[in-house]
Amino acid sequence: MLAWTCVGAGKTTLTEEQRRLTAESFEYVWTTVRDKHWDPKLGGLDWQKVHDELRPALDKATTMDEARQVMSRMLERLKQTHFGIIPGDVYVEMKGSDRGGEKEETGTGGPGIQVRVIDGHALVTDITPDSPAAAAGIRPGWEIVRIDGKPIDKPLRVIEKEEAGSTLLGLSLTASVSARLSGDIGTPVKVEFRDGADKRVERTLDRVKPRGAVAHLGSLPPLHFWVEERKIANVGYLRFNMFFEPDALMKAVTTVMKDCAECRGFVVDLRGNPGGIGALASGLAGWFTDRGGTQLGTMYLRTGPIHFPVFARPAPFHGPLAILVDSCSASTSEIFAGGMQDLKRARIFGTRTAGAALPSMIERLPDGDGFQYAFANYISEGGKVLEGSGVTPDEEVKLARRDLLDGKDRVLERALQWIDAGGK
Amino acid sequence: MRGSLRITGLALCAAALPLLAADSLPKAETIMDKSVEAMGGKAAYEKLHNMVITGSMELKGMNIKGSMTSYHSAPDKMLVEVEIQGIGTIRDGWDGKVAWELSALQGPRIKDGDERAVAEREGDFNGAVHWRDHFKEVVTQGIEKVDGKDCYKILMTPKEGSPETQYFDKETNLPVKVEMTLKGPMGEIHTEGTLGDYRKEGDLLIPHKTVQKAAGQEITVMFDTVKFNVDIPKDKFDLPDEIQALLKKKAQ
Repeated sequence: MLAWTCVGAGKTTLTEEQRRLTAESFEYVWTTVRDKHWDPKLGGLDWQKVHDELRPALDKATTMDEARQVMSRMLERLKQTHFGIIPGDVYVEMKGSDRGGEKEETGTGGPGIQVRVIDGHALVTDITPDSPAAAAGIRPGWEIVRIDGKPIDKPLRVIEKEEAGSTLLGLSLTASVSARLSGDIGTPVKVEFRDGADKRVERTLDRVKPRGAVAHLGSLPPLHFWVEERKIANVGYLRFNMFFEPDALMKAVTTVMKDCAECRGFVVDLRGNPGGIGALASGLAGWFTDRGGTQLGTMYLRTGPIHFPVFARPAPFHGPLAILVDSCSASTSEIFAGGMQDLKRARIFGTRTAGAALPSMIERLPDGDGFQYAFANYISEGGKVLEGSGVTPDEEVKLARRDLLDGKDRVLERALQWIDAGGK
Repeated sequence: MRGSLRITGLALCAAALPLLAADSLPKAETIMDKSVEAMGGKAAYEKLHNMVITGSMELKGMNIKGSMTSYHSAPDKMLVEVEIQGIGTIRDGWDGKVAWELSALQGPRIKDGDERAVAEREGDFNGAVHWRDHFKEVVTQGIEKVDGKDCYKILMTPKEGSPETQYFDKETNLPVKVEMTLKGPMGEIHTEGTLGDYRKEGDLLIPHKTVQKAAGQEITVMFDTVKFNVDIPKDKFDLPDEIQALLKKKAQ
């Protein structure tokens, strides 16, 4: 469940060859869903009718953007997450270019601001260290009011209306603000905030490359991965932005575990983590359970079920385990959190997750775009369908502006209190 | 990955003791023996005491690529190391007693059941020659087309683990396809592997291309080099520390 943003124009008129390739791509997308969706009946959707309705629109498309929109509309009919068209432009992101002997990164970046929309307000929840936002003195708890002169409340209200009742609402709201902050690396973004004293302040911030190292995996566009491991008052703490880079992630877990044999508890912070490689949920779970033969859940493919087994590490951590989630925790994060909750191995703190937990893969289409499609449904070990419902925390703890301004992380604090009490 | 590798190298023509097949069909035992001969013959196999294979692999459609090196040593040692871009290293081994995996994704684990049985068969160096040691029954079930060619279909029931079906080219006697439903921690997964691009390596014919289909995914493995009777470090097949730790814990 990774959000892709269009960074290229895709507005030039299609050549004859491009027309042929987009037509081929359309058919590939349609056929893949027909043949590989776990539900051969597609929940009663007349897929042939969808094809016949949209193919003329594809043939009329004059630009890549239009062709992409037609294919996206086709996938939207499924009303499921993890189906989408990824603009081919993102694949050329972050290609290094030598300028003056120094390697410079190109592509999409941001000013280093993490956002959540809480009670209708776009609040800064975290600032990337050493980022332009940090240098400009932006603080958690500040509210984003305008971006590049445009008020953001209007688009937020539209999304709230369109996605009312959906578990995806929080994720969509956050993605909407984040997308507006993002842009080509090196370009500025003008942001108007309401600061801690409720004063309107405006800052022009440079967009820089995202935090972390560039990660590559197959047909996925390049992504930035970071992991943070530390101890907080003799409690292990692990946070990472995506389930990628297995070597780096597991190395970090190994490091913190070595140092944490006597820890009073452990916190895995998955807030904002959109998922990644599904098998890493199993790999991470093995650090926290001794119970061999268990599983986090099962994915149901058209060919049959496949479990997410947990293989216990030689010396797993036995103390209280808290997992922190929010509306932007999705996919593999939900598989891990939901499974550990069902196994009664962890207590979940935060807010309900995105409910976007369909196992998917990404392929390149003939026209150069990426095509993400879910190939399985997922049911957690406790029998819950996470898609559309998400993981409900054992303890709901919401962020509040006042707490953020005071430098408090109530979700983490509550988890630490629980650990202090011996996990009871 | 394991599935694709299990049908490579010397282990690929392991088979079983045949019972009576349909009258019009040759006995499975005869087909198996002919297959060993087609691959180079018992004498050629017995000249060998180890083998190292290098190659590449790719997951179809996903653009995930990797490299692999497998080590096989008489009488019963095997190690397969796969390095996948963006994933890391996955190592599978059999030291004559323990079947194990050490994965960048899922950590260390000891295999049992079907997985152990398959590792034991694969790990038997020159298992092609003494295939009778591993299977209690083989039956010729018929003739079916594989890639347009008539093949003998043989159901093979091992002494340990689930049965598998192998297909042998009627004309060349070479194994060209293997099917099996493997019971493991991920459930029952049907795998289908095809073998091709047979090339002479020393006195043996070795398939240089295998395509494995399982759970809707397709992995192609291509061999670049196959070397026999080379120097393999003595400790190459030693159990990794993590696996030893798991065994120690299991024994407690």
